[in-house]
Amino acid sequence: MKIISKIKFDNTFYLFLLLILLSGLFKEFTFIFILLFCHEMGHAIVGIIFKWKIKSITFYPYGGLTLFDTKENRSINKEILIILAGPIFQIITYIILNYFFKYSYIKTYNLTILTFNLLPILSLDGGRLLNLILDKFFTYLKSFYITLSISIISIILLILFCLFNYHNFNLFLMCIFLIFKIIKSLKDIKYYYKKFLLERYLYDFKYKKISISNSIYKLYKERNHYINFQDEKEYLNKYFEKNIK
Amino acid sequence: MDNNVSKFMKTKTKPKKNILISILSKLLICFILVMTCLILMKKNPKFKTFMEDKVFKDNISFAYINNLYNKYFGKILPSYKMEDTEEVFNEKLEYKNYNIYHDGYKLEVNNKYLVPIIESGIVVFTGEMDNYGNSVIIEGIDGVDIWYGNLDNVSVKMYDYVTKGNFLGETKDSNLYLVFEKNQEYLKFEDYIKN
Repeated sequence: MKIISKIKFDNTFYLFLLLILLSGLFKEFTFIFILLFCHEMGHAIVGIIFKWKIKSITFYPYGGLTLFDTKENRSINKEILIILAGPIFQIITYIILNYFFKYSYIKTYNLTILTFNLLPILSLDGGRLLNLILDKFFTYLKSFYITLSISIISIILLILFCLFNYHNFNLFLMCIFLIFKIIKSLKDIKYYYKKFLLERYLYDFKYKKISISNSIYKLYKERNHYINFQDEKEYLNKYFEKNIK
Repeated sequence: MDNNVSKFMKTKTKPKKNILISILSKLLICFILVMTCLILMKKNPKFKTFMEDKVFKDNISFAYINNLYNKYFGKILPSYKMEDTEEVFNEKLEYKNYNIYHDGYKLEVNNKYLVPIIESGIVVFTGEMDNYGNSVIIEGIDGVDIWYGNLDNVSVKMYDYVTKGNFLGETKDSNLYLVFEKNQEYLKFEDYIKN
């Protein structure tokens, strides 16, 4: 019951619903919504198993967004599992739906939603997954910027595909929405990084790996550091006290 | 100092919405709209005929709107291909003779004739009808409703999008009833089917 109270619908969703109502695609949309709903529930249920607090579940016309209220120093493997749970739940529901209803369009909708969601663009599942995998090998900021550049390239390719091959106004609107999301994440990254540092200053995080870095902007996720031959905790103490004064 | 903080907090926190009041107010707005429409209908005969034509008799032409949107903006729902191509079972409607029957026409066809769909569109009715027996109404992409009467083993369901030339069902005996309707007017058979 707690999850249901967190569900929200974006205003664009209502507009899309009006369009569906006028064009009489009731059946098709019901199946798409069931698929999307189970996708988001996959993220939410695995999140609850790991005892993460759900902030909100928002539904957009062609997808959903599940936000968790967690620390920035969260476990990478758990987050990867949460992201993978969405597509897995969607495939399971697709198999169940395909067993009971013999419509050929369920397959095409399922495949298109899955492939679109796994594109390497930030704020889609694929982009976030890429970012998390890169976090294991690169620093926090470096992995973010690599994902950002990959997502910009792929969104340009998507727009070119939309313009020359597949004339679709709705897909074009989606691309614009994603561009806005990418710009927002670029603006927010410095605040997230500050949060990341502040958590390390306030709490104790003990990891197996220890690495050496020469700047405060070159820290890894899930690693302890020696910054300029000082322990990370000491360095952060100095850093924050200086800034406060 | 504390006063200032509490003032700031007060401006920040929104009062909680009462769900019951919000639902009741929405219901009341609907009620007022319906009542004003009813009063206007009683006072003004012109408005009454307008409402009867547009609200009670007319229906939204789903297939027409969908076709228009597809033409200018592309598909509404996600799909790989731009245009779905399907196997077509029979393009032409074959019949021996036709006569006027009620609002539409009665076609003489073979016994247990397999009926093809004349125009692609959305299924808006399936079931029994007076004079026509077990029938299906398909709202075409050109805005014309086609009624198919006296059918058996219907293969389509309510609100399915169907394409031209696909299999609809078979006739009960050697008669097929067809009615062509657009904006509450019955159209002529010759305009529609030319053999």
